[in-house]
Amino acid sequence: MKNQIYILIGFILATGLVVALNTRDKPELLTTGAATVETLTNAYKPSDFDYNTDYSFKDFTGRTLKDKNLNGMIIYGSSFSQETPDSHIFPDSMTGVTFIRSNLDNVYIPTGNTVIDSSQRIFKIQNDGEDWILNVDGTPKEPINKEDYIEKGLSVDPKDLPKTPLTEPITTK
Amino acid sequence: MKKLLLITIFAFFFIAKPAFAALPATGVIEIRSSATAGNLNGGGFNSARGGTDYTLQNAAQEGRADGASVTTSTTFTSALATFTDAMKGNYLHITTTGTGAQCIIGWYEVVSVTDADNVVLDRAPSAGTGCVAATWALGGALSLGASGTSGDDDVFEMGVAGNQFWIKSATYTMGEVISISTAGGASKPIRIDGYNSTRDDKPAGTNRPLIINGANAFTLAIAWFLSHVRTTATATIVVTTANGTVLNNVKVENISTSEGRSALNISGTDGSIINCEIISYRGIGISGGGTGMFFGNYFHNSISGVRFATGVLSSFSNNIVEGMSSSSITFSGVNVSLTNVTGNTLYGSENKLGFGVWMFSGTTDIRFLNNIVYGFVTGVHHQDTQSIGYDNYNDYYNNTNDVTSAGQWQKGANSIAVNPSFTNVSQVTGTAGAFVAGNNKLVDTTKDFTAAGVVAGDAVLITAGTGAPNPLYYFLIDSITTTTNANDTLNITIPAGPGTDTTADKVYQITTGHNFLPTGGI
Repeated sequence: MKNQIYILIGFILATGLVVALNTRDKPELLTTGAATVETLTNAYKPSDFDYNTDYSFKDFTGRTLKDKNLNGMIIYGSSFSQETPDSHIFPDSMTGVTFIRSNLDNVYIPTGNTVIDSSQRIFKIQNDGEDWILNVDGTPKEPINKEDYIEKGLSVDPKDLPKTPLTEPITTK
Repeated sequence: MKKLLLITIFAFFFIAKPAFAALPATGVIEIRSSATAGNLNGGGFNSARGGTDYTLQNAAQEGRADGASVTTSTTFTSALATFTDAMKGNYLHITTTGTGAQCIIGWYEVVSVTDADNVVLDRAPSAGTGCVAATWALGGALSLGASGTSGDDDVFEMGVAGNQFWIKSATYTMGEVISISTAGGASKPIRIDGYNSTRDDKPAGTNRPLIINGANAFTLAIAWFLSHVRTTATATIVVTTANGTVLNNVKVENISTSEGRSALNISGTDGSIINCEIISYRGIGISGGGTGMFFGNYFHNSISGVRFATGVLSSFSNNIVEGMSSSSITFSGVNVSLTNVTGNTLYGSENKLGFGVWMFSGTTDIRFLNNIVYGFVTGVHHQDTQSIGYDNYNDYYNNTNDVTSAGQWQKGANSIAVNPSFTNVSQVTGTAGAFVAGNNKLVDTTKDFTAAGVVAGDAVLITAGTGAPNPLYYFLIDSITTTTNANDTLNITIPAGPGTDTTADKVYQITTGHNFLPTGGI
């Protein structure tokens, strides 16, 4: 019974301390300084941001935007994913850009820009023909599509990668 | 007296039996890009409860951070909330584990509303010791574009047999790999349908939602139906099917620069691919070793259209396969099951390109009937000298060789050679194309591409010249602009830039029109 009383007390205390979701302020975005990675934990809608409509909710996968002036923009929900690590697809002088909930996999982001709640994985195709997430030293860590490997009974251990490239990706067989 | 009061309070919670129910089969889930980010809303609604559907809005109808339950009770309490009876049937999403990490994150159905502070859920939100101070939301659509807890995979894992997911037309950048494990039922599939402005309006073209996967794959589970969406990825496979999967009116595009990748992979049995558009610029439209039927699809601008592996029992009918640089259909394994290939238009190019059908050694039991085989170096090739395959009532036209040899593939007695005279299909070729230093253009100052009928969305195949890609790859034409003369420039970025060599010697070809309705006497 003592434990149950503690639970009830905890419950009462907690309900007195909470803040309603719909009363939260808009996020304060970092727009200057070194490249910053932030996590957006609150329940914001896209309309809460003054995002640029030309570059938000767009598919720039595999494309380069080196000749574009994006300075100062807020970009929401776009994909810039690249297939090669550390791809320089933006102007090196780009600054003040805030990427929110975008796919920036394998993309180099110059300093002076902000990345919030976006995907920034580094991956590379290995000898099994598949994309593997890399460790900081560039060695393969695990396949991006790890669940598919497990379901198909394939090893997700980098030491089991083929020594020579396969003729077709291992998961398509 | 105080002790009696406490006992009474706890008895209220304890008499509620642990619930093992699940989300309802009649649940409908709404997805909108404009919704609260991070898939934090309730997202679902079960109309059988008689409440009001609050999923057709961007924000939650109600949401607080004081959610609680006692032990394994299905009663969920929020002193700050104002629950109303209209909320029954809506999904309530618990998004945090709360104080003491005893709340189970997930989506729940509001089975009934007890009062302004209490609702009954379809199952207990705590594993045993009680949920305290959970953050939760009720109503509002889901956003997609999230990973981890309440990530995009979790959204689809919520589905149960009979559910309907609606995706409102917009662009969705997926936050993670989707690998659905929850199966639909044999008589109750789980449906994902895109819509433009009103649910079930069956959009076409760019009115369909666009799902951008990047390097992430999208793997469906048993008996999931996916309709009226577009999707792109650079992953090894963009969409993988499972037993009983149906894709209808889906555009699947693999835009990877790596070879050997696929738009679709047929896994499991009895998949159905219907009225889809399938592209894999440097790979295969459909690969895999599963079984299925393929009806009324449009494959184009890939290396191979479909590649059937060993043991596939399939029907491939009424499809258009255009401009594969290698082969329209490949039987890559020892296919020994009956496979019907009927009523298709297999088109290489006006100046002849690749193979219509390539059958590896050991392939048997192919029934090749009522197809148009047009514009190939070789229409049908079989590696064996054999007679088990069957060919008849086909139209072989404008091929360098209709078949490799009569010994390896015998055209049927009723096969013909008549120009089908397609409604609008033609070809633009050139020999003086040049790339630019920026690696994003092909310029031919001798051409006015617009006047020649080329439009954005066509694809160019660069076949020779200094620095030309090898092997043959297609490139999507983003737009047509002017460099020196009017409309002399093809702007290219997908799947990559074509090259940087500025020598004006690139040989290229572009198929235009793409209307393959025959007007000839066939």
